[in-house]
Amino acid sequence: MRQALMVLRKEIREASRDRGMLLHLVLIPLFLYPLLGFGAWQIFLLIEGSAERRPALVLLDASLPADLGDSLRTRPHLRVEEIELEAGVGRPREESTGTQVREGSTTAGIEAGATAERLPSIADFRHLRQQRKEDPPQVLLAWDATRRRYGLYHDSSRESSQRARAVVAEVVRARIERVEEERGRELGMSGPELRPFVIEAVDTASPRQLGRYLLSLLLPVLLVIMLPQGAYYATLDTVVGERERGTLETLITSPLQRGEIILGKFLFVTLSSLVSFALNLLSLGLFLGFVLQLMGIGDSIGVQPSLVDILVILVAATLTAAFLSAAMMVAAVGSRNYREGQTALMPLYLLPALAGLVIATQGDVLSPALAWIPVVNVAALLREVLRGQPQPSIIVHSLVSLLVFTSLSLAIAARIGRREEILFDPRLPLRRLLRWGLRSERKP
Amino acid sequence: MNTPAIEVHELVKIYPDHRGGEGVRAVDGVSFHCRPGEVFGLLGLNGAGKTTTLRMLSTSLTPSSGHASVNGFDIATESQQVRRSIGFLSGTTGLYHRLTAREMVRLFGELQGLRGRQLDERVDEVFSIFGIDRYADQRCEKLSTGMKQKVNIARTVVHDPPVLILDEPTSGLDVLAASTTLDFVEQARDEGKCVLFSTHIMSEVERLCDRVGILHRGRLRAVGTPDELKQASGERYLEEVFKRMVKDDPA
Repeated sequence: MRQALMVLRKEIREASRDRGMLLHLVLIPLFLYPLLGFGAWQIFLLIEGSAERRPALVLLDASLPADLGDSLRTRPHLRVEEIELEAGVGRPREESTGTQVREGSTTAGIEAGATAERLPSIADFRHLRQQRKEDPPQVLLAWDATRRRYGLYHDSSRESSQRARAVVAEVVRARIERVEEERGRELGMSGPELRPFVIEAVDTASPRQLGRYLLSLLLPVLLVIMLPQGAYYATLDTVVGERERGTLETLITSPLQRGEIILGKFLFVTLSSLVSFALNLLSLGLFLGFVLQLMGIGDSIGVQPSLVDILVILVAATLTAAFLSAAMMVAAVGSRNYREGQTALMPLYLLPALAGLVIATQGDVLSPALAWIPVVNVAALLREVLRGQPQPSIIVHSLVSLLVFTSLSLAIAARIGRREEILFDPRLPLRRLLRWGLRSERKP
Repeated sequence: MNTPAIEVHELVKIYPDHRGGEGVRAVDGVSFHCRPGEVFGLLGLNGAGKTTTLRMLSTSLTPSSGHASVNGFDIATESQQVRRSIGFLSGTTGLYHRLTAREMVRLFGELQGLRGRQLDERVDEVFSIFGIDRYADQRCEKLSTGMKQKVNIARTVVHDPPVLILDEPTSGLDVLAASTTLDFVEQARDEGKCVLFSTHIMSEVERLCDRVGILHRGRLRAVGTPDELKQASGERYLEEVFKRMVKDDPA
């Protein structure tokens, strides 16, 4: 073991002096979220800024009540212009109703359920936009006095149109409510008589539960993306790099046993994987805390994990890192150079990420069968534990599965590593490597 | 006469083909010995089996048959002791570029079992012997070819091994770096070490080797001192002897 630790120390020293390794193992995990957040914030500011520079034009049917136009004019980032809807531009058109509802690009029928012959058609709105292409209207609010309906036309493929539609819809809804209340008062109704049913949603989750829920969404994905990232670059450097740089023979002719070399490298790859994950976790924690505070909901969500959570995360991450490291070493051991190594490792790099996405988007997915699939099982397990609904049998299945697969991969790596061909054979196809790994060596 | 530090008897290495059957017979029944204070040169063309023989003796490769011992240890059953007894240097034993020269030599000293003050003193000593003290704290990647070779030699001898196995150690080196290596071999012989040296450069053989074995297509065709070989063949130069051996025996 002491000799293996010497190999580990050598690998750490070398890695700490390699810019590529530092970038992938430390800097990217650490600064990924702040950079992504900063980027997203800049894009947001850009969009907001451009929106502010050019307020959206809202066309208002001149037959609408004047107070609606007045209310809209008080809202920021909107320019309101009244328009007489004439034949050929607006009403009436036979095609209107069905087309509008099917295409879903209008919110007609806010006030009444009548047919829509007297509202403009989609083609009319497009025509209007085309006519004013220098300064196209983002929203058209039309009024069918006969059927007592509003028609709210917008273009959902444009951000500015979507934003303007939301504002106009809000103003119209407020007016509808106001009118309803006035009518109710005229009829002698008020409060509960006017609105006899109210749904009041009560959230019973504590800040800590909300925090754990948030972690259960983020951590499994983080685990299956960051652990392979760390293991990938470390394996490339310590397994493929050793062969490519011609230092493997130097090491092999020292008194180290092959098993000690493999163990030392395995420890290094596992450690790199865990460091990458831990730094990413730290970065995410700090960033999330900052964002929640910024949003003013920092106190309503407690993202600090408990000691048990930390223990579960640590065990899950360590076992997964160990499995991925052993599997990646097996995959990379026959590669003669970095290019071959990248090709060999890519599936092991991408598959866990894919599994993470499945876990993140699916509901309660951890079944006894799934508990035997490495990486997937840990991601799902972590999610269940953080949500406070773990099944002991499934925990046992998952942990045993990881231990079995890690031991198996390490045993295969050791068997392959003992082969002298690893040193000197220029061509080592994966099929041959696996044959060596799975069968015992025949002495010549 | 001293007991041989290297004894090789009917050593055979067969590289299997991809189906596991007999592929190439790279070394075919080679026998020789080398004593302390002696430089034994293995002379041969590319692919003659020199490197395979030396790799078997350094325990990187396992012999298919035959046996050999280094410093009294069997290469098949006592491989770790063999590796503790040798310093192995070849054109393909690289340095860790991101380590400094001192870290590189210290690492191999530690792997050879040196610790603490003994290690510090020995590292200082080898740096002084090879005149690389000034470069000790520079990373290996920043050293010149000659300096790299000196660091590699220092790495090879940091544990003061009784046996040195050098596989074409001057391959790819410029004149000065090659000269450093040859000086080192002479010095090692003077210190009583057993040096097994493979090359295909005749001038190196003439300068260094006490005895020579000519290896061709995996078989040892002749063994003796350079003078004995010249006398036996009636040739004036060792190069002519070598050419005749290779030519006369197309196998």
